[in-house]
Amino acid sequence: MKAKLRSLLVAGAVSVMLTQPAVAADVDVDPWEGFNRAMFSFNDGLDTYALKPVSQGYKAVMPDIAETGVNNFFENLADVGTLLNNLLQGKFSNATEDFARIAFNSTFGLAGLIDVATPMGIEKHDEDFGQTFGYWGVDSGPYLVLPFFGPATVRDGIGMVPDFLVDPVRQLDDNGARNALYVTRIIDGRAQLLEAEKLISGDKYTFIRDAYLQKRAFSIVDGDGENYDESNF
Amino acid sequence: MKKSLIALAVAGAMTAPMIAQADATLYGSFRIGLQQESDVNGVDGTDRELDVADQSSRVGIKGDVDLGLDGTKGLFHWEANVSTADSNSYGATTGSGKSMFGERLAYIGAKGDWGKALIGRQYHPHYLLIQAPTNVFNPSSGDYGERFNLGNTYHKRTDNSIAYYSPSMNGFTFIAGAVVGSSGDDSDNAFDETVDGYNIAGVYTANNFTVAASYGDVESSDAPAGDDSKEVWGLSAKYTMDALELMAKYEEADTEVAGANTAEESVWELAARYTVGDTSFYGRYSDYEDDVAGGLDLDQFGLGIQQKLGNGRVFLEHVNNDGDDTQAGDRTVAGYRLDF
Repeated sequence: MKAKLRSLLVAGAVSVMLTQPAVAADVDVDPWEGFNRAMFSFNDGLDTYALKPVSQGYKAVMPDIAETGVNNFFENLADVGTLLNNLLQGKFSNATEDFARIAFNSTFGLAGLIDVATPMGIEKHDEDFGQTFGYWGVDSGPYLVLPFFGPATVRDGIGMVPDFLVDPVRQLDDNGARNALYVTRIIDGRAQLLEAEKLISGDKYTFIRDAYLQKRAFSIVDGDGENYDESNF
Repeated sequence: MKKSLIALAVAGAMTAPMIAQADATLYGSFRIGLQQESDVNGVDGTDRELDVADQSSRVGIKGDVDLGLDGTKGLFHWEANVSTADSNSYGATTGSGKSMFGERLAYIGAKGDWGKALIGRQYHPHYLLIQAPTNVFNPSSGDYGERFNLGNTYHKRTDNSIAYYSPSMNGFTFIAGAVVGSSGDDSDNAFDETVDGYNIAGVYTANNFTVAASYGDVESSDAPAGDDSKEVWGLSAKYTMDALELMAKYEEADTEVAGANTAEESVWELAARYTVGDTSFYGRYSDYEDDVAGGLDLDQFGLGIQQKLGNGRVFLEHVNNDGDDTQAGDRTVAGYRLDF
């Protein structure tokens, strides 16, 4: 109980800090670069020697149709968090579409293995608590690379906690099944990035940081805000 | 390819003269769902396994007929239920009376700038104006608990009916109808008087708002002990705010059997539908009371989501009935519907 209270206080203090107006311009988005680079090289090593080879093996072994099914299954679960966050952001039209996606993909789409909602014309959205905080006006805070979890900002890192709490996989009672799903999801997620990472050029750390920050800014305004400028890419 | 072209040409040659003769439209709506029921017919703990079930499919033919009059046309309309999932679902439960068709509508009439007059088996205004607006689900209202629609006996689709619909007068329309039925003799508990029942109703539409009221009384049998009758009245309202539609109804009915009051029922119902593009999310809450049968008080709620795909749609619907309800249980349907 005490520990919980303390973590709440810390979270509160951090979020108060975050609501302070940002004094810095783009140059200052990464004041913790030293720490971040250290974490980045740790994650990169972990990825190079463990996660990436496993994901490549997974991609090589799995038939494409099965790979798509697994990805659809986890995307369907992710829609649950998206639905919740669209409600928290007061985007009721999007929330209705999220609910329709989950309802139809879970039934007609055989527990989510087939994404029937997209060809039916029901748009997919992508929301999480980090984006919800951003939508509410919470500043992102400095760029932060978390061990194991990868690129984030302070705000998005805090958002990962409620993301974790509402994750449908977490609701499974059977430990074995739950862990198997966690591992499969990580491998599936990594396998999805194998193509995209070929685009990386120059300093890998800077490239990923800038790509991450731009994508988040883009996502929070659902791609049509004033502070999104396509020429930045 | 060639074959189908020839077939098309032959079919075209054959149907063209027919279209010229009779201005008829063949239409229909086929609805089949995968259905799961629990507490079947209100019996606790009686569950039914997953079932491919018909969800009130129907076909019909309707059209206008030239009467040689200025501004007045004849019209006809026939519609029947079609059982898609199980053979012989309609009619008698056994023997040769079983059928894949169920009766719905069969009437003719005339229409012009003076309004519309209909005769035959048709909807009573009580159903059209009071019960239909809150009926947001794809299966028929009866599939989700008949008791929440007090007009379903005698005031839904009734034989031997005559009706007049006024034209719209600054948004106001009234409808008056009567049931004129007779059977073999005067003591067989069937429609016997010259006018056996009537239904009057009015509906007013302005901007995004519709309100309606209806009153009806139907008698069957004038047996010495007293009449069998059902008197029903109701109010309904519908309001549309962009993507959100809100519907409400209130109904009351008095039922007499052989002159004795057997039911004094009332139902109120609220429904809402939220539509984004082709996606709709809807729900309904109903409350039923009967003051005669030991003060019965039951409720029901339902939720659904539907995606339109051109002239088709898929839907998921769940309706939950009160545990004390001895007529209907809970039901979940994943359905597919095509309209043509």
